[in-house]
Parts: sequence; structure tokens; C-alpha cells
Amino acid sequence: MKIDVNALSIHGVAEDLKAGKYNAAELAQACLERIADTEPKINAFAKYDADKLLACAAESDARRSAGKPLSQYDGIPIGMKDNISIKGESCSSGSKTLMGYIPPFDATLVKYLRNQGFIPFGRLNMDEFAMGSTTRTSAYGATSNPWCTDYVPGGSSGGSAAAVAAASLPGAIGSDTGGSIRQPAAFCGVYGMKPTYGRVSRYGIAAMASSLDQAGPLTRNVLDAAILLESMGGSDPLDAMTLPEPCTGLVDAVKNTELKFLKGLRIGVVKEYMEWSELEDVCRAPVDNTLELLKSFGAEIVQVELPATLLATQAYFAIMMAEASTNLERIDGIRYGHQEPGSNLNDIYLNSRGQFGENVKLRLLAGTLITTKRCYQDYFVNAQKVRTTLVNQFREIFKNCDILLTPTSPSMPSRKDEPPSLKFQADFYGVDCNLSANCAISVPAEITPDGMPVGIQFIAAPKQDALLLQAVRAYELCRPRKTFVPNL
Amino acid sequence: MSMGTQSRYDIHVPARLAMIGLNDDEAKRLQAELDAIMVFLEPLERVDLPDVEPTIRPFSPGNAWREDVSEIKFTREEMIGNAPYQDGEYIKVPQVLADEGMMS
Repeated sequence: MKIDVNALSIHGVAEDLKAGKYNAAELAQACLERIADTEPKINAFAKYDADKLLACAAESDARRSAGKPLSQYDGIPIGMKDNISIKGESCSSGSKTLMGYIPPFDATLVKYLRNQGFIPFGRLNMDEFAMGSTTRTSAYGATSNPWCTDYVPGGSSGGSAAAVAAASLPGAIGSDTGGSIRQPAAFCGVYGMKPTYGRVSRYGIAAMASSLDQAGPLTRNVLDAAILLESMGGSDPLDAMTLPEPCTGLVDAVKNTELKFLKGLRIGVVKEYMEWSELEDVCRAPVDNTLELLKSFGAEIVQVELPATLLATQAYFAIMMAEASTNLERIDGIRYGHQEPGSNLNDIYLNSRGQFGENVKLRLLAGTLITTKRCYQDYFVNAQKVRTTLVNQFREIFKNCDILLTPTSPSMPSRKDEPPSLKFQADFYGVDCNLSANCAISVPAEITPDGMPVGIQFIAAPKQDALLLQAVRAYELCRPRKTFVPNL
Repeated sequence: MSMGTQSRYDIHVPARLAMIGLNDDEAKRLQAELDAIMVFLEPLERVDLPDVEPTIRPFSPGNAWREDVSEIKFTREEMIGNAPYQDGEYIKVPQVLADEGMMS
């Protein structure tokens, strides 16, 4: 049977595999053909190993033939951002400094996905060390937006978002430190979720800012997001920050959600988010329209205030850069990665670390400066105090709200050939959830007259991942537009 | 090399601490960008929250204990296999104890 890749969904493929409409090898082949077709246009992958995918698919088919699939998802390929360790495959975080590094172990989330039979596949392109929002700063070249290849796909998980939007794969995994899953998801017309901090183990993900980093799924519907999160999440002795509670019940919660879920659901609208001067009308309109829609199905709209957000982007940058500069000290050109020649050890360090891209260098230098005695109190400690204030204000808000609805990005994707510039405020709607551990998901809402998708963001309190996914499912049921497929 | 007098923070200070090599052109470009970052962050200097505790991580789950047992997770070959330069069982680095000046 011919597989319609544009209709690929994880739950749909699982049903087809179970019904024997096609097998994992045929699915893998269809994905590889689609990738061969789309990659020259979008460059979503840093690398991929077709032979390995086919071998894993054959193993999956053998398990299924023997009546012993690992789960209903056995044999489904899932794309992996280039900062997630897959044993025996290169993992360079889009950086020249890590070229040649091959992890001798699987990240915990990779292990958990394998336990369900998923096939972790490919090295999806990303901004170097996940620092950026365009996927233009990778050593593997820029990724293009599948909706219009003159535009960026967002970032840093731009390869993951582009690959899912292009229907090269049924789903992918990204990482989110300040919106790096959600913003590219919005730009590419897919779903992108940052789970509650600690829901997914960080073990085996190249650390950027440890108190903010969280991995999550990019998918083409909300049920698939629940499937991936439930499969990859859960506690892990190798990441002391993982939540002790099991990551279960999400798939059932989504499956059982009906439109009546919206009746009485308290949806908060944050004054500072909606009144922000940088918010473009084209990104605001889908939020307003959705609020009206959800209200018509019985949701209660609650106006709330979050004054701490006005300093949160500054706090985020200070904390992120300080933590990143510490984490990336390990890149020394000696133990792994790329080594530049030097006449002595000092020069090897300087020259090897001199291979960071300018975007990364800048953040590491600023982070190093912020953690010096001269700046530590004024910038780093004060940023952490702003963080406390933000967390407390969110806590108050969630006493009166179940969900918050916000834009995902204040603006639309920029052109790929636009000169690079520091756009601190591009992360405005993303960073608060990383600072506060909230879970959040970007959901495609509308398509502009220019033919570009616009995403909106649903936010819930920490550990309310199931509630968040249910709210999105209810929205999915009443959303006027049902499909978001680029003409690639 | 002069970075101009306006810069509040000389980029060569963190570059030396972070051991990141910069050529002159790069230093000039990045100095301007560092200046812009620090101007953007300036409102943090005026934060006055003496009674607020800083949040260093979103949760405080307490210490994570595990059994104190040894295990071999990786072989020696796996552990050093990624080093760009190796010599048998060792990672190869240049001489670090020099007669003078090398580790300034």
C-alpha cells in the first residue's frame, strides 16, 4: 500500500501497523523517500543513517511477526535533535567544537522511547548549542521553513519542527530552554510542548542551562504529543531533578476529552502579555479569536496580571548565559570533540574553544562576565530574585485559572537572509515557563493570508501536563481549521 | 588593542577567564554586542528585593541518594574513545609542566 506521508500521525501509524496495512520497513522506506525529496529544500537534518533505520525497522517487524511488539508504537521512527545522545551516532549540538563526538550511551529519553519500540532516528539540525531562534547558526548550515523556504523555521529546535511539518517523520524530539521547542513549532505549524521541568530526564542531552532545560515532543496533533511525552518521561536516577511521579495517564486523558471539558474551564489572559508593545497584530489575533471561541463553548475568561514578566526576559538571559558558560566549560578539545592545534595546552584550549560560533561565544562571554565578582550580585543574584517573584505571581494566578492562553511568538518568522541581530524580546512569551517550571505547548491556530501558520500558547501550572493536553484537545475539537500542511 | 572608551566591560576579561580565543575583528564585533547585552540587562541592577530569596532551580526535591556501589558503566576504550588524540590507554596532551611561562 502507498503510505500517505502527509497524513502521518503517530497514533494513526500505530493503528495501521497493528492492522497490517504496512509494516515498519515500508514505513521507514516511505519516510526515507520523503526525506530525500524534502531535504534539498529544507535541510532539517544534520545527518541521518538510512541503513540503521531500515535495520531497526526490520527488527521491529520481526518482533511484531513473532507476536511480541514492545508496544503498539513498535517500529515508528522519531526524529532526534542533534543535542540528544544516541549511542554510536554523532552528537554535535550543531557545533564544530563537537564534530566527531560519538556518545557511548543513550540519553535516558532515548532509552525510554526504545523501550516502547520507537526508533530514535537522525540528527535534526539546531542552532549551535541550542542558542538561537532561527536554526541559522548550525555548523551544518541553515534550515528552511517548509511553508516558505525563504524564511527561518525558528529555533533552536528548527530541524525538529521543519521535519515534522514537512511530514518527513511522524514526530520528533526537541529541547526547550527559553522557547526552543514552542517557537519553531509555531513558525512551522506543528505542536511543540515543553513539559513541566523535571518531567523528562535531561541525562544525555547536551546541557545548556541546567535549571531551565527540558526536552519535549514536536508532533502534528495533541494526542501524539501525549503519546511521546508519556513514552519519554518519568523519573530517572541519573537526573536528580526528575519528578518522582510516574509520567502516565496523559494518553487516556487526551483520548477521553470531549468538548464539554471547556465548560467552566478558567482561562487566564495575562494583561502584560496582551498589552506588550512588541506584539504584532498577526500574532495577537489568533489568541483573541481563540478566546472568543472557547468562551462560546463555556470557558470562563479571567483577566490576570503578571508584572514580573516585564523583567523576566532580562532575568532569563542572565541566568541562561551564566549557566551555559559554566556547562560549556567542559568543551576543551581534549577529552572529546574537535581539537585545534596549539603550541601548548593553553593555546589548544583557546584555539579549540575559539571554534565556537560568534553567537555562542557572545553568550558564553556574557555569562562568564555575569558570574564574576563585579557582576554576580547585581545581575545573577538579582535575576534569581526576579525568578522567585515570577514563580510566586504564577502561583497566585493559578489559584484562579486552570490554563493561560498567550501568543507563542510576538512576531512572524524572519527571512533567512536578514542580517543576524540580537533579538532579546523574541523570547518574551517563551522564557517565563522555563523560569517557573510551568508546562506549555504551542498549537497551530490559523494561517495568515500570506500562507504562514501562526501558533498560540497554552500554559498550565507545574505538574498539570495532563490538564494542559486536555485543554488543547478540547480546542482541537472546535478549532475552525483542522489541517496545517505546507505545500512543499 | 583598544576597545574604545565607552565600553563598561572589556570583553578580554571574560575571554581570558572562559579561555575563548578571539581575533581582533571578532573582539571588536563582540565587544559591541556584549555592550548591548549589558545595557539590556541593566534593569537588573536596579532590582531591590532584599527580602526575596533567589531561586536557583524550579524545584527543590532534596538530595538524591543512591546506593554506594561501584559499577562499570563504560569500558576504558569507551571512556577515552572520543579523545582526539590518544596514546594506548591514555589521552594525549602537550607537556603541561614547562620550564617557564606556559601556564600563565
